[in-house]
Amino acid sequence: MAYIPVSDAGELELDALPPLLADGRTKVIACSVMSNVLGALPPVTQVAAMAHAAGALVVMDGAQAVPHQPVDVQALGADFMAFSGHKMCGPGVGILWGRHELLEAMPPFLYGGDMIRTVKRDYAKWNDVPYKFEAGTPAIAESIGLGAAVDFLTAIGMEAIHAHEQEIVAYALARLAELPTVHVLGSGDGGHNLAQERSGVVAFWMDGIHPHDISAILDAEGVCVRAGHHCAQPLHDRFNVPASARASFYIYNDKDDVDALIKALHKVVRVLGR
Amino acid sequence: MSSDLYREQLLDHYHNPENFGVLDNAEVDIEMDNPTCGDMIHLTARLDSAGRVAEVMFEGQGCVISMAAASMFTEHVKGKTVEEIATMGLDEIQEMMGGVKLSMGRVKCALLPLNAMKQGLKERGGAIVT
Repeated sequence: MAYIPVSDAGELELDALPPLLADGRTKVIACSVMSNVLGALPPVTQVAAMAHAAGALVVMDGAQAVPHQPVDVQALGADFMAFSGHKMCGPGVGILWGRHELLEAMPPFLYGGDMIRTVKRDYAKWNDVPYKFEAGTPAIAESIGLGAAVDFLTAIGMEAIHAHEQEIVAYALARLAELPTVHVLGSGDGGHNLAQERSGVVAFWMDGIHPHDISAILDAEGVCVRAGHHCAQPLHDRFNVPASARASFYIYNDKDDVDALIKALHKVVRVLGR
Repeated sequence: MSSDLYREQLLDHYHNPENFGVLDNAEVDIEMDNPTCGDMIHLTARLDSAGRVAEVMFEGQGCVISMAAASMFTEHVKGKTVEEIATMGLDEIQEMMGGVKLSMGRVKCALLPLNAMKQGLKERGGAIVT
């Protein structure tokens, strides 16, 4: 397993990729379309092109991206794209999009009802894609719920959602800069200057204050953030931070919520600052 | 809830912990962490001839709850027997912390020093029953 390094600003260092691909042994490159920690948008189209040139497939993690901006799997060059209903106003159901010819070539991993066409004593014929991969009773209620979520977000418009988030996160970063002991992850110098476009998640740490305590005090002030590693322990190791707190903004947030966050962070400093 | 949880007593222990450091030649010498949140404790302790905790120290890093609990625990556990420690649980820890009612998410933080002590006593070869 090899890793494409990340800069202090939270950007993928693509220069490091060609040497990693040089021996021609790479089968798969896995890449996030949008980081759920740094808010960064890696250049996945470039990664895909480099992967394909080296004979590798690219598997994209769209769990954060798909709910927050328009995502065109063809345009991105994805071979596979995974995402989840629970981050897009839907129920807990996972989705894997794959290029048809790849799915055709792959054997099933789960056996059961409806994934077969014919079953004899000594052989079985699989059903067509996608049924080949849908053994047993599906997650019916969840899938219908996902459809409703897709309709809901489509009606608002993914471009509009993206623009709304950009506005809020820019405001949030500006206001966070008022607090000298708050450091945003992936902001280069540990400060608040982020040049590139980013999505509506802001993971931060505070001098001498544990993220668990940040989230507990924020919670009492009616502000919900996540504290911990956000399923990204190696990334936290890279930034030399034991854990972080994360504020994430979506369609139901506005600038008042940012103001509430800042006010609550002042309280954290008052209660726990030395 | 915030004013309750982060009361002065806890913050005092957090900022000025009791028994902070490492004991030499300690028969109990244990490191433990909460992997999901990053609280870490290193506990060292000596027992007297009657099998009671004579001296105990801790060092570590983590949230207010885990560090304040550790500080308070080192005071609370002095003079206790191995058996008494074996039967200690969340209720006693919460009472030790001034009668605080911890949410599910913070229970592991508060129990870290107790769990470390139990494991440390186990590893030293004492006949602790858990």
